Amino acid sequence: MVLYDIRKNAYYDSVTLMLISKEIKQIEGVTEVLVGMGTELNKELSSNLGLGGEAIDGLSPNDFFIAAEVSDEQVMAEVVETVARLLTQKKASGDSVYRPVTLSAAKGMIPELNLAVVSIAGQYAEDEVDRLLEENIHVMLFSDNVSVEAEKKLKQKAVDRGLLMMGPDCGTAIINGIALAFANVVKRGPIGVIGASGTGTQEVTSLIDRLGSGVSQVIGTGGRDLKSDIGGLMMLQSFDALIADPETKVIVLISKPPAPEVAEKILKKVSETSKPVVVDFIGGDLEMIRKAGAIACISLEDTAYKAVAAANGKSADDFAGFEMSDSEVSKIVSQAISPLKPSQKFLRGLYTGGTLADEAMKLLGNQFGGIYSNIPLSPEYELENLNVTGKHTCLDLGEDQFTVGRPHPMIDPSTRTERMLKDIDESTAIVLMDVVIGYGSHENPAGEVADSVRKLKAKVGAPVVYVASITGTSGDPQGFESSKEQLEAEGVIVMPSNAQAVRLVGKMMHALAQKEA
Amino acid sequence: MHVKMIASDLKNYLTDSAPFEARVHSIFKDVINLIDHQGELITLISENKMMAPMTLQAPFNRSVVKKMVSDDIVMVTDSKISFKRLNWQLEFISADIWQADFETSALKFDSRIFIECADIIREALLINGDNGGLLPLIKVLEKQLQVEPSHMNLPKNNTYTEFIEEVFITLVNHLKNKEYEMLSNILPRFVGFGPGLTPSSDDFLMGMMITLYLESTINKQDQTRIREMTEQIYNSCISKTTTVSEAMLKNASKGRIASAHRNLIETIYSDCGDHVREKAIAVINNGASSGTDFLFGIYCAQRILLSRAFNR
Repeated sequence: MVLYDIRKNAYYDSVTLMLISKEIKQIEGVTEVLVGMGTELNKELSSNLGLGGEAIDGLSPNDFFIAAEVSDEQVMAEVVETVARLLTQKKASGDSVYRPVTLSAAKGMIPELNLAVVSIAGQYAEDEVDRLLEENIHVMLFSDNVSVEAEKKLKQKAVDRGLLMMGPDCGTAIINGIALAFANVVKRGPIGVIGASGTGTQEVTSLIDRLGSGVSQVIGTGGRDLKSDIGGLMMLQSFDALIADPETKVIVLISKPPAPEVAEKILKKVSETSKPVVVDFIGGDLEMIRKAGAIACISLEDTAYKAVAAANGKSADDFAGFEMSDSEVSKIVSQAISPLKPSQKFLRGLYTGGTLADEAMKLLGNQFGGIYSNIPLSPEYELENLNVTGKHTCLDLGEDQFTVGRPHPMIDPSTRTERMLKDIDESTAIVLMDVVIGYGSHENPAGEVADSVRKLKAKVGAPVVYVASITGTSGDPQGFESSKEQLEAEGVIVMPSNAQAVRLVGKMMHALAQKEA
Repeated sequence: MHVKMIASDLKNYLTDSAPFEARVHSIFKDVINLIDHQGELITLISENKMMAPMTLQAPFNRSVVKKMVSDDIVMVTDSKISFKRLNWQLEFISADIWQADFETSALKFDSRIFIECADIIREALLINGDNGGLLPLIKVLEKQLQVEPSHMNLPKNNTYTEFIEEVFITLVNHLKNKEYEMLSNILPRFVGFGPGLTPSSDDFLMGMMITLYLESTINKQDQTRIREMTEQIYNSCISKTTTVSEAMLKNASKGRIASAHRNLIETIYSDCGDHVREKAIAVINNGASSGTDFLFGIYCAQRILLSRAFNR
């Protein structure tokens, strides 16, 4: 049997690694062992030695691994114990990075610790979070599958203690400049963001960065916070925190439309603060927001524009156009659709970010006869059995029907690759996609999309148009520019935001209809 | 707290790029690596370590270092580095400057001295070197370059060298024949391979690169091609090896290496002499097999240069 000990982004000095390797080789019952960093060639060698496997395949060059072939369970236990002993020995002498494995050890190391990220199976999360709140520690609860009752109870406890309980299913936050879970490398600045939507928050914060401003805090609330059951407990709590925060000059709220009574409570609070508040209740009632004295937005991109303008003491008109000139847009549209055959009629939206998919459908509306989806805007456009034939479609690939037994498509883009190969055919005219980069995302989502497009060019006999936007910044590990280059090298039209990508697709669909007529 | 010494390349970099936010990448007893917004690795070392490119040396506050964790935020300006959470500041406005670039005017390449030096390094490798990395490939290297056999026993192949032997032979032949443009095919099959935080093949490449780089500078021959070659090696390693290794290869591709390594190289390109052995052993003692692999890279380049010199 083969044993693995894998430590992501763990660094030990070379002497430690060599020592481990030598000690393990000496254990009776160990026939082969390899200790090293997860570079491609080291992975290949482990495979040649019969020590390969899925656990090794997924490693990056900065991950440390031990792979050992052992005769039985007892030897395996001895190997684990030896590794732990040798690493602890080095830890005690201060020679390697110390990562505490329990809350009390972490608190012993950093007594002032006051925020914890919880990412465990949902059914165990309630007790764990309750314990953290009891110790006056703020919580970001990444786990889902936490009941509404538990969420309400935990959030109420957090409010009573003046703490944050972000989540459940909270995927994005940036606290005091530290990105948590799925988040982008965004400059520090005067804009405080509270988001009930993960990719929506990422899109807005990335655009704020690209517009030259930055964020003070980015607080996630979890998607259910603004429903009646929870009553917006965390959005209200976070709002108070940002009002009190001297670094926050402008507050941004992002959410799908809240329950009416929750919206009322939030907007009442908005009307009471002197700080400018920019609100995007995606597709919600703009007039209600304006009446509360807040700045209402028509898209995630518009939210970023208005927040940056407010931070600079200015106001901004609704941004519903393009960064490029009308003539450039017309040129792109006509060049893209002219090679299309009459049989190519349909739009395929293939999104990894749910809010971005939702925004795409809201911006496109029903002008082309409705868009079918697994998260439809109205029930008649519910996509049955995920059969896309003969209709415009827009899928949120992060929904449960695509993620059972596999990671979210932002982490594992193979879900989208499979759908692209399945759903794009000779009837497809335009494919619309998001590429979400940043911490937590796949190491090169743009490269994966580019690969799929290359394969499709060979497979589909018609010239399909690919339009994408990248949610991310230049500072992200995958790099905004490098992601853009990879997509453009395969002919994908990359727009500066999801909203502009959607608007461009709208223009293409119009032009296509005219061409057909 | 005041920094004792700062590398000139880091000083220039901070003058151009600071202020910015960086984060702690990795922490060891006497070394703290920071990584900045542009992916540059900045290294803090204690007074127990010797200077290297992109490094600053300061007294370590052990109780602070103990509390430090990966990803701690660090503010970097052109005069100080602040560990915000730990309330620890290192000021370097009055720090001494360590020149990261070689001063080559006093160096020379003399093939007669070079042979003597290569023999001493060979001996140091075989007596004091660690056989866990690429050193066992010395056998095939010497066979390829037709080095006179000696009475000393050569180390036996290990798991790593068995795997990489063919690629290594091709690499040596390309270098010997100055077929630098052919390296792009072979490097992806070589970089980032072997044990250690800086994999063995990268340490080897560093030693080999710096030796060829200096020879071309001293003899004023093939300088453009050698610089292109070292750049090519660095480009081949991007994302293919560890962050620490990538940073070291980047520095080596510009002719910059740690001072312990530099002391040895400077001796090789001067009068050689007995103190080469002592300096070679000092290099070997760096890391587990890292020092040996670096020295083996130097030895490989020495033999290649000698092979070319005698073929001429």
